[in-house]
Amino acid sequence: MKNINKKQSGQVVLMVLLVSALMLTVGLSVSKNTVVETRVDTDEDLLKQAFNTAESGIEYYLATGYKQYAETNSSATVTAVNIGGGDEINSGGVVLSGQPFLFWLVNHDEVDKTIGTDMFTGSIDQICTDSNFTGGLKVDLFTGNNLVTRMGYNMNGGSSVNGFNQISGNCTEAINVTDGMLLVVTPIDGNTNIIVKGNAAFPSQGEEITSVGQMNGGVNTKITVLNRFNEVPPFMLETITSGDSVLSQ
Amino acid sequence: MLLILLIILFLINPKITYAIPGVIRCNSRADVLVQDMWCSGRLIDESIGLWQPYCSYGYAYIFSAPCNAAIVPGDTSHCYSITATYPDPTGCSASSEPVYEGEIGSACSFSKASSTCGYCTSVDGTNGVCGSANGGTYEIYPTSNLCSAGTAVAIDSAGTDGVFNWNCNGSAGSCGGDNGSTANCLAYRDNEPTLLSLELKTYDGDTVEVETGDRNQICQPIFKQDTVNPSGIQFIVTGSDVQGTSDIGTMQIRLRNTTNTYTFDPVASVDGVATIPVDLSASGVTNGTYNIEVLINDATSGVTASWIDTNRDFKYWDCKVSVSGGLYDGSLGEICPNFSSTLVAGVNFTSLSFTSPLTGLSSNMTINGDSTYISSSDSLIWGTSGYKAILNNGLNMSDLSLRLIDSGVGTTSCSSTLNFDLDADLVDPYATDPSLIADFSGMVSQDSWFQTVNGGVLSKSTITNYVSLTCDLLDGCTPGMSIDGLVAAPTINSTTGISYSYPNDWHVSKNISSKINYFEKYKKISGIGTTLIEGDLNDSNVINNTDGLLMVNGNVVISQNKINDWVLNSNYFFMIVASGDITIDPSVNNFDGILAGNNINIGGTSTDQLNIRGSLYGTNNVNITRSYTDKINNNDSPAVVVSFRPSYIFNMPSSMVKSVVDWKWGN
Repeated sequence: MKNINKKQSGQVVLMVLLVSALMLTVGLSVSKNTVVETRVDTDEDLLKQAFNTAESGIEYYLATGYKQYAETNSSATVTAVNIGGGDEINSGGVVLSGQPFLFWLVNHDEVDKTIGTDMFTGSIDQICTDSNFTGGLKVDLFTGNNLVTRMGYNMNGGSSVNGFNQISGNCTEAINVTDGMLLVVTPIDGNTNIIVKGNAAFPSQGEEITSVGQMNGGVNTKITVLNRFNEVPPFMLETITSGDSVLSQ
Repeated sequence: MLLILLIILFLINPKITYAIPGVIRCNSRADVLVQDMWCSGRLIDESIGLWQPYCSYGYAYIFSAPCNAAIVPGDTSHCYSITATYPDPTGCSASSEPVYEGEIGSACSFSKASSTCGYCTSVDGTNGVCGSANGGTYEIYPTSNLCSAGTAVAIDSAGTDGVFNWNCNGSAGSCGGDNGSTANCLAYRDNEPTLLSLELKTYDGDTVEVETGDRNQICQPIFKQDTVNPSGIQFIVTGSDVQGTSDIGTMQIRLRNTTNTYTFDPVASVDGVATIPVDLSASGVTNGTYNIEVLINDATSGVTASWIDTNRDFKYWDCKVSVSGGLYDGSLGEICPNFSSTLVAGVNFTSLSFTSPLTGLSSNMTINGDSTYISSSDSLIWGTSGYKAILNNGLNMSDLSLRLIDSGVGTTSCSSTLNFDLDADLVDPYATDPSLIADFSGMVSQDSWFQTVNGGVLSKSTITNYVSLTCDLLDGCTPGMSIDGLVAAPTINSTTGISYSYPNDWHVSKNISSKINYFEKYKKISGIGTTLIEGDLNDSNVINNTDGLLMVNGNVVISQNKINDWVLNSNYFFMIVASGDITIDPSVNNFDGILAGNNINIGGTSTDQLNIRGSLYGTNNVNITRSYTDKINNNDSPAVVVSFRPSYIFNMPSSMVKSVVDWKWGN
């Protein structure tokens, strides 16, 4: 009887150990997750602080022109690179249908960003879209003496817009420019990247501003801002624009 | 003594078988005893001793009978046969001669031996005697009263020498009697006068030339211009007569048709010419076309004149030409005579008159609701020059052309003006009912429309703008909603046949615009060149004295011109951004600036065009309903022109030009 009790007692202990082990396993698991989440929250806070610092660095740069910015526990380093400046400029991304995209043909003051007097004279050899873009391309060329020349192309054999010139490929014909100030390109009936190629250097289209925010603890983040010159409300590029209807009766 | 002689003769000639004592009764007629006388005989045939009774004084014997015997013809009681042949006084042939028998001395009657020869008495024929026609005057050979005795035999019935001849033959004698004599008769021929010519003159003496068709009519200008009597005619009739003009008597005129005949008083001719004045109005001649007929009487009685058709007609009428017509839609550019068949409606057609300043005549038409009209009782007057159609002011049509149709004969005339002469070239005056169709065709006056220059029209929903079809480059009007701009909207309502955009008709039925509340976008902008007004802005002085960006938190009414001198102020920039609606008063004709509001409202009417040099943006609608006061002006000119000015882009205040368009974040 006594052996039987010892044997039974051991079985009970074993069961207790197994249950305990199971509970410990579950408990340890929960405890580990808790520790990881705590670490992530800490990184995001640091990143957010670094982002804020980087953003502040850009604003500080835009406001003062200084490229170093420092806070108590963080700092930002700003670098600025001109957009364009060569004989090819682009939209830097997809331009949505109906959204006019501005390519400046006149320089801007580097400090106050006001429009300068150095106007582009030469040839815009091509304005190119994506090779699969079959929509229309509305091209408005603003030149000195208060002139505007409006052109239109149906790209890649498309026929989206009545009356636009038919282009079999994805690049337009050459456009001679004298005292060019602004080239506005608007895709119609499709989205596309836009590339403008010339036979001479185009002026800067603005700056690509990069700001790296860094926490004293070593966490950092980078923000890049494309600061194009002079936003123009789209309706100012036309005579009559309506969010609903235009009615004469 | 005589008896002795007879005896001697008898003795000498034994062949004599009869002596001729006795008495015969002689008479010139067989049935009437006229005279007894002593008879005597004479020897007829000595060889046979035939004696024939002989009547003295040339009377023929009738019969032999005892003297003083009363006998009747045919009494043969005293007759007896004789053997001698005796010639038949009735003319019978010798072979059938009767043999008369009897002894003359006792019974001197004759009898016939043959029934083939009747008994007869010798009667002389009756002499011909001319009738009452003898010596008369006739137009043609007379057929009656030629002879009062005898038989008329025509000798010359033609009378070409002016004399008709005939004989009145006497009747033949019988039983050896003498024939009646022949009378020669004659009558004189007289010709009816003939018409040599007819000439018409006015009362004041002007000669009226005959018109094509051998006719004239009272509404000819030559009559209308007659200062004496416009309704009077002088008929100048010239006659001819073989017997000479002196043989022409009076002349008459009559006007005759199937309904009426008007005969006018005779007028004596002078030397074969008569001038017959006729006042048609006073004579009560009713309207109609008449044959002109003349009657030329011969001066000599006995010749009856007859009416002569001159083969010339004359129309007497009131000169009234009824007129009707309509106004047709010529918006597609129809040119007379090829008018459209569509009557215009709703063009404010209220009156039409045809006036002739030269004559002072004016006829007012009765206007129907369907843009047709009729003259009713106020007809036009044929023969009137210089008619001009005058339509009411405010008629919503322009470039009218006139088509004129003679509804009688169907000929069509076109007039580039609204003037015409109502003459024979236009309406046949000899038609039964001269009438005219005068149709007008023109461009229907357009409702208001606008035009953009150097820029497009973009709408997120619908564009409705009907450019006038009459807008023509030749007239200085560029036909298009936009000049050198793109027209883009999911729905575009415009005039068929007119380009959306000139010259390349750029348009796309897609939305390429955005619905943006620019007041919300720009309301935080402040600084140089920026003004913010809370509440509605109706004071144009504020607008006129403000440049740059004017933010208005409310509605805006622009009631004065705002004009920039672009030469002196090339950096000009003015832009109103309102949270509410922006309205341009009809009194404004010029505005330099950009407007962005909830709705842009440009309405009303004005005699002047509104020129906006700038851009318009409506978060919702842009309503441009402004019209010219006289809608005709809408036909070749937009009431509102919005001209794009690139300089605004480059003259924006610095506060508006900041642009951050793209962000990238990452290590």
